[in-house]
Amino acid sequence: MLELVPGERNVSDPASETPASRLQELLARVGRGDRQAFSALYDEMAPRVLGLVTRLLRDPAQSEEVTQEIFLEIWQTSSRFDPNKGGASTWILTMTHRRAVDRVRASQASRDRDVKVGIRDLDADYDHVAESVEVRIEHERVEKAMARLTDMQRQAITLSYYGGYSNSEVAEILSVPIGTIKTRIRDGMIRLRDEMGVAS
Amino acid sequence: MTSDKELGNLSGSYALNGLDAADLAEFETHLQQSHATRDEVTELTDTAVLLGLATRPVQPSAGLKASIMDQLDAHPQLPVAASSAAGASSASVATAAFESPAGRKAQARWFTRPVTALAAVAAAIALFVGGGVVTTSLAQNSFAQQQADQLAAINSADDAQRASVDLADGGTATLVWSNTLLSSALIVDGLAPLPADRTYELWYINDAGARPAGTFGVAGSGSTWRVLDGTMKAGDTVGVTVEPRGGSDAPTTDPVVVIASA
Repeated sequence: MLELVPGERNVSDPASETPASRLQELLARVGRGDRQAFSALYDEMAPRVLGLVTRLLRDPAQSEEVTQEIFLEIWQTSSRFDPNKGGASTWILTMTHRRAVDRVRASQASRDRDVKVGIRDLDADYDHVAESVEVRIEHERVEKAMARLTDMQRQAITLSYYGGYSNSEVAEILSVPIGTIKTRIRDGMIRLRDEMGVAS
Repeated sequence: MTSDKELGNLSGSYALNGLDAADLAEFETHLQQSHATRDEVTELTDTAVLLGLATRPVQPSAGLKASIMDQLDAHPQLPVAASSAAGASSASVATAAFESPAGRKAQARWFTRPVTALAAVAAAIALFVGGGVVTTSLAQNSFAQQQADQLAAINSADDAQRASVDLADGGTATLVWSNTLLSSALIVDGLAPLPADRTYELWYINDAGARPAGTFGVAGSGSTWRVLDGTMKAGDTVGVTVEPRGGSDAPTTDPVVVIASA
């Protein structure tokens, strides 16, 4: 069964670098063919990658399969990652979501996906057991920002991001014109961006 | 045709990978033309990453890592595309097009796009310039990717044409253009690197005068390529001059490359 990852790492070690710069350094080394760095990067990121993939695909075996594809892609393309220009976790999570959505759309099982799975609250996946501090803070930050959205914005974004549904599918599920869906998603994402202080 | 305003409205869905296929193609074309949309997409993609980080981590099975490590040999890594010098010159070219911090981040972000397009473009260029010319210039940053997409479009146009000239100091320059796309690209080999306070500038030239079409630098190998900014008119001649860094509004020196497209 699924397990929670252990608590935060290295936080108490004053000599350790920040997680973000450590990840960037690891990814840069992976790009130069460093297998040890790849192994460390995997240990660091695999629970995050698998967590997001599982959120979209539900099926544990299929989720691990996609996670494997993602890490092989990371291995192959990391030479093109420029640590000066963007975060390593952003690079990895963006790739992860794209691959998970690809699989959701390609999979026949997606036709049968339960709509309720898509529209339930972000919080439904959480049983409030002890999490690492880092994950809990990130979760609460998103939850708080999501609470500021209108119902339709929140539903459209949740279906789209966590359900992997396309605009036309979201429109059908919510019985709303597709143009409205596009607008709600954009307005909602801009609101989330501002609420969470994402700036370039 | 969808209006720019409607296309701009797709930025949120794009960041969530929620666009349907037809919208996706149209939006990606729009992205190449709109800095504002590109900046917004970058920020909304960062926002989406936070949604991803808020999901509950799941510990993989013990066998997964071993399985992945076993397959590394069968999955060769892509070669490092850009030497630092080539990267620097690409960055200086890109600066003009991406003024805002978000824009610079946005251009960097395009490295997440599939690399197969770049490989295809490299192969296509090798076909028409004899191979080996552009290896250092395929910097895997957004600007290169965007340029690569445009070059691929020109090169695959039904009316794609090309013309080459020998340079004074032994190099060559090749112009590829399409009159239906109103667009062209210049590929150079053996062009001398310039001091830091100078840049190469491209021009579309006809009877009415010379129109600036972007700047570029070359790394140590002297090889690079650049899709020209702006619109090509049928029969335009393309020229390259050496200008002060940042480029000029009109040529201030004699051209080092001149290629007629007629």
